[in-house]
Amino acid sequence: MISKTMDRRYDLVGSLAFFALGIAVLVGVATYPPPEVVFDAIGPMGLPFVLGVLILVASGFVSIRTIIAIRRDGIMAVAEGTEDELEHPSVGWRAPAIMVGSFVYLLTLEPVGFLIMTPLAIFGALRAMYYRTWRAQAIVAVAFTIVAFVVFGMVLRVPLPHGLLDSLLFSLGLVTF
Amino acid sequence: MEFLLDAVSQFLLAISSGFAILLDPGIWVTIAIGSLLGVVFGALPGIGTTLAYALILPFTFGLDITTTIVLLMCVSVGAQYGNSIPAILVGVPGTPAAALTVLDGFSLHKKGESGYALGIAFLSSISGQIVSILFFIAAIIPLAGLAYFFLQPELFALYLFGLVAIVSLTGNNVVKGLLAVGFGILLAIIGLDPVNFSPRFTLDIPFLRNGIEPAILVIGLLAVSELFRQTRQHFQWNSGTTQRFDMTFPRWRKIRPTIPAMLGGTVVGTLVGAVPGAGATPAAMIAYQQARVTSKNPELFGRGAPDGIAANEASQNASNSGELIPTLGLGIPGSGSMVLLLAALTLNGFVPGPNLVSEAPQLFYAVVAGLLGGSIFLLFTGWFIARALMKLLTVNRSTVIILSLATVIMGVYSLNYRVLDVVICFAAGAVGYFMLRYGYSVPAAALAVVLATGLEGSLRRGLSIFDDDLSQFFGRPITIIVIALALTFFAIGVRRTITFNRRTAAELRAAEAAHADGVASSTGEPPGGDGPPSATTASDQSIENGDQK
Repeated sequence: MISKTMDRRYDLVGSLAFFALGIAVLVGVATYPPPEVVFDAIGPMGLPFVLGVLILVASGFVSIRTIIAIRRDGIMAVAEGTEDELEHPSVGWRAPAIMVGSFVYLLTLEPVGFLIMTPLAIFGALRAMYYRTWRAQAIVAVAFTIVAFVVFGMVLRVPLPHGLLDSLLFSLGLVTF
Repeated sequence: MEFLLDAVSQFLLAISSGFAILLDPGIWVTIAIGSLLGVVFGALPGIGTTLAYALILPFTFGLDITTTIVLLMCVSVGAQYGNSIPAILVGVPGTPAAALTVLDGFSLHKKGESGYALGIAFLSSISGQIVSILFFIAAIIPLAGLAYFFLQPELFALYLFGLVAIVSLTGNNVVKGLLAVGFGILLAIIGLDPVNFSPRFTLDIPFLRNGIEPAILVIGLLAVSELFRQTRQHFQWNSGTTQRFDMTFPRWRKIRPTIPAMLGGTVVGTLVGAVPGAGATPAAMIAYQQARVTSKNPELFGRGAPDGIAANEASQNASNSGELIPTLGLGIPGSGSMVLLLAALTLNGFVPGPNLVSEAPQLFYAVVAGLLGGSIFLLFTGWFIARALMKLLTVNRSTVIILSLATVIMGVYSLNYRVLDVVICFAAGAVGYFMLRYGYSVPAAALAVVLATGLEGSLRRGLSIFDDDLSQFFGRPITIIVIALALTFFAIGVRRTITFNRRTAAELRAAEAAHADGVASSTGEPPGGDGPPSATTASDQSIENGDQK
């Protein structure tokens, strides 16, 4: 059965973000120093100008349409995008939390190191996904990290960030570069 | 007559060149790995061909282009076969394209005829794939012959057509589709412009001067976004595959009646797969309906019809070949996986477009070899792989999602040994997640990333060649025809948007009226009865709780 699953307020925030992007592009075009030599009539800022206008007009249209729809029909609407799979319950906070967690992991990967951050990140993500018991979560996290370290770091010789364990790994002879 | 003879000789040359690649014993290792990975990824619910490509692609950059293409083709062949295994045994389609296999396959499984259902799916997948390769070769040869008519204006028109077609045929809102394309082109033009070589939108960051690798953006937009989306859901399904069931391969007399459905599915799959933006799912839907219409027992469809499985599975594999026709013949990829294939080719220095096959025929032969090799490998091993993969059906989907994200991180990092690349990939994934949820076509954005340089370059260089005369540039016959086609597709997209809005409004009114009637005539019994809460109920409840963000 059809149901209203899309929150128009988030849709509006997205279209306004695109609107701001359109303005930023047009500002970038306007402030771009013209090149000394131009090989064609359009020039390097021709396409960005068209894109800026396209994004501005299209996002303006979507924003106005969404505002009108919110006032007329309320906040919730039938989804225009990919809906959740109905046979599995959805948890709204989890995707943004996993995203934030991923960025925290990536930003700390170099200073702290792959061997410390990866099991922590996978353990945390599996906990957020309610995967079985904490022991199973820890085993999967550690197993993946070890396999990835052996395959990438030792066999394929990919220089994984060592971070805090740098001198220890060298002294143990596990890495040579 | 001479043209026909030439076409036949090229047809035979393509097949013999494909087989020549298969004579190298080393390539069979690639075929075995690719096919096995394909079946595994296909069998894991939520993965599918596009995600499988994204997971594998970063690991192919050290390989030569023939091996890369053979590997990716085998993954496609394996994935379209593998997705039928959970559909039949668990009632969960490995990919959306196998949704209709669930209806008949799972019904047969419940009747104790698992071997029959799996056998039909196995033979249909392989035969659909092999026959469709012939259609694919037959379609590519004339397209490659047209390549010499394509100068810069025609190329520009073709790139434009590709973008408009994917905007119009994917997503329910054509305006949001245009925004997605604009966003994709904007990401792609960061760095040096293709004519003047002056930096654009680099924000004085040296890293951005050379632009962002398209493959990184495309993996983020297509794969990471989908994995983020799947983390929203709570997966608890239990396969129940520990129980014993019949795995006897069906006898020939039971297979023979399904051959017309297999052939029908193959033709439909190849044709529908060739439409940009269509892909395996619509191909399977149309083939299923076509098989039902022509079946002697249409009443069995949905309740265990072998013809339904045959048509559905044959069409899915045939759509692999169909999708390759516009991708290799015109440089217009019709699906997410094909965008990733073109991204891989771009990284290896190939320029997407109608000249691709004429300038680099080895790509064409590698595709033929990959599709043929994967099909031959699975013909001899597929049945045993299906038996061996029973355990895989008990793998928890939450683990698959998280470990897939971790694998993407490892793969993208391995490209240039830069964490910043992974940050960009995940940022594209986060934007892609929003786009997926709110109806902005992610495949259109990804395609725009891949085609942007060609689009801009062909327009600017073409205008220079024609002395900046727009009438000469746009007045060429093929350019006019292709732009007219693009406008037609755009009109179709606008119509689809309007129809979607009207239909959902009408369905919503009907649903609200039915709900009001239900409340009025309620006897006090809760709508769900005494059974466990349905998934719909759970989902609706999460809406009430404000969880749907």
